[in-house]
Parts: sequence; structure tokens; C-alpha cells
Amino acid sequence: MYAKGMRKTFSLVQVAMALMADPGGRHWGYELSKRSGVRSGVLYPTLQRMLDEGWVEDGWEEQGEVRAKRPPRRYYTLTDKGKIELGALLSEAREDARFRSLTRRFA
Amino acid sequence: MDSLITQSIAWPTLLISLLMFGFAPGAVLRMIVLAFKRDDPRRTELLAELPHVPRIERPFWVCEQLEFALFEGLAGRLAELIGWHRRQAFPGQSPGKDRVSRYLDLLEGFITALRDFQRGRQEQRSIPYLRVGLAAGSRSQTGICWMRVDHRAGLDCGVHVELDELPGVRGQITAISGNEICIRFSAPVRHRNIPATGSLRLSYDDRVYQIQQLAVAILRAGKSVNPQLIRALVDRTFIPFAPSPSVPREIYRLNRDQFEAVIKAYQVPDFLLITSPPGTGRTRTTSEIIDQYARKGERVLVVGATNMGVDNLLAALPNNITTSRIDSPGSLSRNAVAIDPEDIAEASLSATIGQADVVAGTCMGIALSGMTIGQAFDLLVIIEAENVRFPMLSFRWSAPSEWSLSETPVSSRYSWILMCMTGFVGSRMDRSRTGPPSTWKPC
Repeated sequence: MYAKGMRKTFSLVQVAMALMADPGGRHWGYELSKRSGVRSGVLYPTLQRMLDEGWVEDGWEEQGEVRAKRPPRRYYTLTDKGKIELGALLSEAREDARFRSLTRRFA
Repeated sequence: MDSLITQSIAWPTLLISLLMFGFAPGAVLRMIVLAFKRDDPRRTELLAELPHVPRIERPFWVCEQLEFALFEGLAGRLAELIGWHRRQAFPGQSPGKDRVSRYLDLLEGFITALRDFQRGRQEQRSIPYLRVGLAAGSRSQTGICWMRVDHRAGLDCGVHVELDELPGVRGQITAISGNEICIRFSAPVRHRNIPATGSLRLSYDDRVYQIQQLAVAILRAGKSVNPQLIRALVDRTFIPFAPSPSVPREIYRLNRDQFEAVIKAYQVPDFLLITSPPGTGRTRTTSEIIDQYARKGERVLVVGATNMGVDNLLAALPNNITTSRIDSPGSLSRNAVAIDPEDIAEASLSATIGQADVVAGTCMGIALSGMTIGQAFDLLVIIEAENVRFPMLSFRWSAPSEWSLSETPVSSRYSWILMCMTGFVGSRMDRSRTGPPSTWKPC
């Protein structure tokens, strides 16, 4: 059962689907926004709540990883707890008629 | 407002906005992220994301960030800016110091309100007295006398009175028997100067109030002997306890729990709370702690809510410890040493107290003894701390270093607090003078 502090919304399910598409990988803000289809004005607060819940961890690119002249980017990775919680969330969403159109793609 | 709307939809403004968002989205974004708090990682994050947004999308993406920053960041940023401006306006006041000031303001207000309340309760009606005499055992005709009063309304032990016929002459009732009261005057008064009949009235003694005010002033000036005291009161913070390898000698008369409590009291840097139910050796443990401090040549002040508690602890102390016991004679329990108020008036009190390893008394007794000149102590022991109404402060202890003498849960009723602080003061009582409490009878 996922945390009760997070209300199950379309945007949460969309972000969860984008994150769970690559559970072990690094996720970037803009890229996550494009893949989930969630506007950044909604995405970043959602990610912040996930950070608070301990579902994701954040980090910054090492200087060595940055080739072009640009500042290091912030990335997000799923924690073990996050994988379990988001897995449970998507399972519930699959059973929920409201999210069927979304989860069909994920399934 | 109309002009602002007209201006905002004017062609030049729109054109400049489009140019800015279209050709310099980075510059616009740099201004937008200023809406986030100074330490918010999103400031850097959004700037770092911009190069990864396709050029054609950047103006729209930047617009989205504007909305995001306005709704998510602006409130926090404004609060931060307001706080910064306040600190600039009052440079001497850090946020922590401001909390201390507010706490002390509140405390001062409470103390004043309490004084006004107590003063308001004092009855202003005169009480006639019919006879005056010397107290038994008084060697001179000053300081203490008895009176037969018409009625005892409002009169009780410890109550302060003043004589209508001798304005400014005040005293404290130290004993009552029927309609006869014993009064100890705060200044020498020859009983022959007191009219044989007359009247007295209750008097508000503001010495406690003055001591409380002094304590607040000391705390406000940051001059308490233990500088950690104000932090403990305001923030409930305590210095972490770090066990030291140097421990006192083995104490064979204590069990393991008691011994560990003694070691902890010996090493703890600021405060230690010892809790235990009756019969688990509180008195023995505390007397051992005091003994350890006395062996180091450090001075201990023992205070408690009742004379009985103080006396019980003093009775358990080793004989080689020099003790001064302070209190009013009328309130001493049977275990207490005898005192002669006239001796107190004549003796060199400060010198006596200064030579004692341990000075003890009730909180009120010490505060009201009149010897409120700072003598420093290395350890303050507050016995039955939950019952103590501090003359200077009343507060709760949330999490000092704690030790329980029993594994069973204990009520806070049985808590004892030891504190390494202080600048308490007291008058003197010579413990070597044993005997019954001071008594009086009509002469």
C-alpha cells in the first residue's frame, strides 16, 4: 500500500509510470516531464513530495560527466521503498477505471 | 490599474516580452529563479535543464517556469527577504537571541502579574493586638516578640505583617498558638518601643518579586553562572553527555544503579535528572554525589520544596562535610538544627556560609533570607524538584541527561534534579548547633 500522504492523481500516476519505465535509471526533470506528459509546474512539486516520502533520491551530475559548457544537472533515482510504493500505486491504478486509459499504455 | 493593463497589452511591451522570451530565455529564467529561496536547489536545477530543452520550446518552457516559480517559490522567498530585512534593521538580534528576549519578556510579565495578584489578595484591614511580649530565650530585646491578637483572620505562619503604630516596621509570623503569634522583625526593634496595644496589618513582601526580577535581569544580560541555563530554559537543549574514563573511587555501599548515577552526576556537563520511586536509595545516592563534590573541594547548594526533604538529605551526609542550613526557625522540621535569630543577626553570616561545603535550605527560605549576595556554587542539588516552586523561575525539564535508579517506570513525583550551575545565595545556619526547633512562650 502506498503512502497515504500522497493523493492518487492523474499526474502522480503519470509520473509513477515514467519513473517505473526505468526503475534503476537516472531521471532528469525536463526528460521526465516530456515522458510523463506532466507540466513542470506540477512535476517538480510531485518530485519534491516523493523526495519527502523517501521514494526517490536526488543527486547532481559530477563535473567529469558534464562535457558541454553547462551547469551540472540534478537527477532523481528511485529508492527501494519508492519502487515498492510506486509498484503498489500502479497496481491499484490498473484496477481503477479512472486511470485505465493511462495504465493500458504502461501494461 | 487601467494604465498598467493598457501598458501591458501595448504593442511595444508585447514585442519586448516576445523578444526576451524568444531570444534570451536564459536571462529571463535567471530572473525567474530568483523567486525561489536562496538555498532552493530548483534555482540551479532549472538553469541546468534549460540547455536540454529544444530551442523552439524554450520560450514556452520558460513561461511554465514563471508560473511554477510564482506559485511554488515566491511566498517562501518573500518570507526569507522579510526576515533578512528584519535582521538588517536589528543587527544585534539573531533569531535565537530574539527567542530568548521574547521568553524573558513573557517571564517578566508573568512575574509582575503574579506580584499584582498576590498584592491584591492581601487584606488591608487592621487586626488589633492586645498584648506584646518577648519570645522565650531572646537574650536581647530586639528582633522577635509575641502578640495576642483579637482575631487571626488572614494570619498564618510565614505571613508578613507591619505595625500601624510604627510605620515601616515589618516582620514575619514564625509561629502561631491560638490567638498568639510570634513575629520576627526584619530589623531590630526594641519591644518596649512597641505600643502595648495597637493594630497590625498584612504586608506584601516584595522580596521574592525583586529576586525574580534580578534573576531575569541576570539571564537577560547573559551573566548566569551556567551559560547553558538560558538555552535549557528556552530551547530545551542540553550539552550531550560524554562519559569520561576518570571516575570517582569505588563506592561499596551503593548498588550498581546507584553507583552509575553517581558517576554520571560526576561527569555530566550541565544537568542531570535522577528519577526513582521511594526506597530505591535516592537519599543515599544524592548524599554520595554531594560527598564526591565536597571531596574535590567544590561547593554544593541543596534546595528543596520542604524543610523535611532538605533535613533528611543533610542527615544522610557524612560528618566530615561542613554544612550551613538556612531557613526560618518557625518552619523547621524536627530533624533541623536549632537556630537563634539573634545569633544570625550578630554573626558574620557570609564568612560562615563561605566556609561551608554544603549550604542547604528551602528555595523560599534561601531566597528570603536576605543574604542575596552572590556566592558561587559548583553544584546545585534540587530535591523533589517537581514540588519546587522556584523563587526565580518555574519551568519544565524535557530532556536533560537522565538516570533512573529503578527499571520500573517512575512518576515524575519522585524526580530529583541535580544541576551544575549557579549563583544562588543564602544566609547562614550553623549545623553544629543541634537541638529542638526554636520555641517561644509568652513572658
